[in-house]
Amino acid sequence: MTVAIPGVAREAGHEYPAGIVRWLTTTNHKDLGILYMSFGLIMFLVGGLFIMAVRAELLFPGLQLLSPSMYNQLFTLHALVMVFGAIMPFATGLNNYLIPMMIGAPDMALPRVNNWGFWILPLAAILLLIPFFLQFVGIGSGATGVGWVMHNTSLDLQAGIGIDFAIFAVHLLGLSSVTSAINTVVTVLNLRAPGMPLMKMPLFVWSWLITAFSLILVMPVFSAAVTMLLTDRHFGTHFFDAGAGGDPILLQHLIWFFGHPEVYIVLLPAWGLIPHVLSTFARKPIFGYKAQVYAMWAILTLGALVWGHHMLSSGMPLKAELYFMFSTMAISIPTAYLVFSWIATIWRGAMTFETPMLFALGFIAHFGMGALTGLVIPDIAGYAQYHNSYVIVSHFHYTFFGGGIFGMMAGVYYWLPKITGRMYDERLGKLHFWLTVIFFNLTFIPQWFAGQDGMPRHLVDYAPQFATANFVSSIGSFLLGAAQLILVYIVIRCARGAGPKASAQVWEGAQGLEWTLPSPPPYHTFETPPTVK
Amino acid sequence: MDETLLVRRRRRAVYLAVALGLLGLATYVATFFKVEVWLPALVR
Repeated sequence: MTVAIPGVAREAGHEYPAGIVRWLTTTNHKDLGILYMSFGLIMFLVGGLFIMAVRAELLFPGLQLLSPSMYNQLFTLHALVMVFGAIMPFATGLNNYLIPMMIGAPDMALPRVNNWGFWILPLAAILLLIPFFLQFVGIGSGATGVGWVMHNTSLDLQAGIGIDFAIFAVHLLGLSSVTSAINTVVTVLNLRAPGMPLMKMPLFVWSWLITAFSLILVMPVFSAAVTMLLTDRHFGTHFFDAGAGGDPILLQHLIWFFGHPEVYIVLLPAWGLIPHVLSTFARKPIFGYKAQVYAMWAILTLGALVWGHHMLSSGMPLKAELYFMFSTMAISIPTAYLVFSWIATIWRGAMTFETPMLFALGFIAHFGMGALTGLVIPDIAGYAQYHNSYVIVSHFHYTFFGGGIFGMMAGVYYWLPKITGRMYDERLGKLHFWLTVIFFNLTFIPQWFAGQDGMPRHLVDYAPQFATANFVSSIGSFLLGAAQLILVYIVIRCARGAGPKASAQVWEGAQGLEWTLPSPPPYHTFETPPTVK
Repeated sequence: MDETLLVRRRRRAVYLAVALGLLGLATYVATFFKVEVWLPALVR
């Protein structure tokens, strides 16, 4: 059974099955891009619901709604779902959809691996979440509650099936990420159109190439670390068991060797797409293209060498602490160059402020706050105060949400008309932006000051002096979550074909091969590669 | 790009993919079988 593709010539071998079979068996990069992005968006909402339950508990001091165990499960699942289920798959979706079109390739180099990489994800998500739901019918003691990096070695927290399910889920998520990363590297290195050397590739493609190398480098270490945790739990090894001569700090080293580059894995795709948006709406070429590429490589390299700043309170030798402090601060040099380039790109440009541009500017402001607070935290004297406090929670939400998610939102609004062929409602997009900015800051600024005053993270209850900050933060988080429904409405509306038709170019100042194609692009594109001049 | 070139590029892509996969696998194994950790862990 086949379906007609409007506006596309049907050729032999180009038919594809209809309905669910199409989505299960597809090897088309655009289909898989849409699947990845839809999965990311759904998990974004699931992760958001988890944390709203946490914030509901924290609305007032004392225990209201959740038991301590349920609280641990919810904040752990929130983090795992947001990092591995929402942001990474969404960025991979943009990668899948856009990179072949941006480099003039007919598809990803390994289309079947691409399909496999995606369909591992829902299985992993089920594995991760199912112990949470099974506890309500009396099976098991719930999902993992040890935090997303899983190095809390308290035996109480690691009892039960939840952590085992999480370990299996993380293996599968890692496999999915690595296959996708390998596919990206080989596609970019082998399938570029004639006339497109590496140094002419769009920055988004560069950012993903660098991200992919980072994933291949660090994801296997994370998988190995959790395998070792699994064998410690069930097969009699003692890698991390201090009671039998093992080293619990080794687990922290292995996991943060992955965990810190993971921050850049989340951020790099956003750093790559932001220059496109800024350049389009400032109607100026990207400033410092080559230096931005070098800066991203520098960040990848330095980012793999600074993991110890997450463990400055673990009792490392002073020399190691000094090394990790200064090397971490050194990352601010290439990062500051990126920020400088973004600002130089829009400097004296003929700017207009459509929703993608607003999110790109919001990205610069909020990511800037995340970066600056990140410059203070690895100071070894200050860290003793900041460690395990809400300062950390506030800081990493300014990087992950203010950086990663604001960046992805800019990308969504920028390419949504290209992907769906329909223009979104600009007024709704702007409303979404401003509500997100206001409620995001309402949520996370109070957390910074509560942390400065000594409020510890990861606890279900808090001292009464933090009541106001937590009340404001909780209200902010509920409204922030509600505001995201506007995005869902906008995306569904465009996907269902409502709204004015989008032209091929969509944005006046947009440049790149994807804008030479109709909106939405045909099912198969660039079977004859374009020649880039 | 004629078909032969595309086929050649795809073949090169597969070789590179296998090499990168092996690199990932080697990193995994090297972490897991880090000898000074692994052996004492077994015999202890």
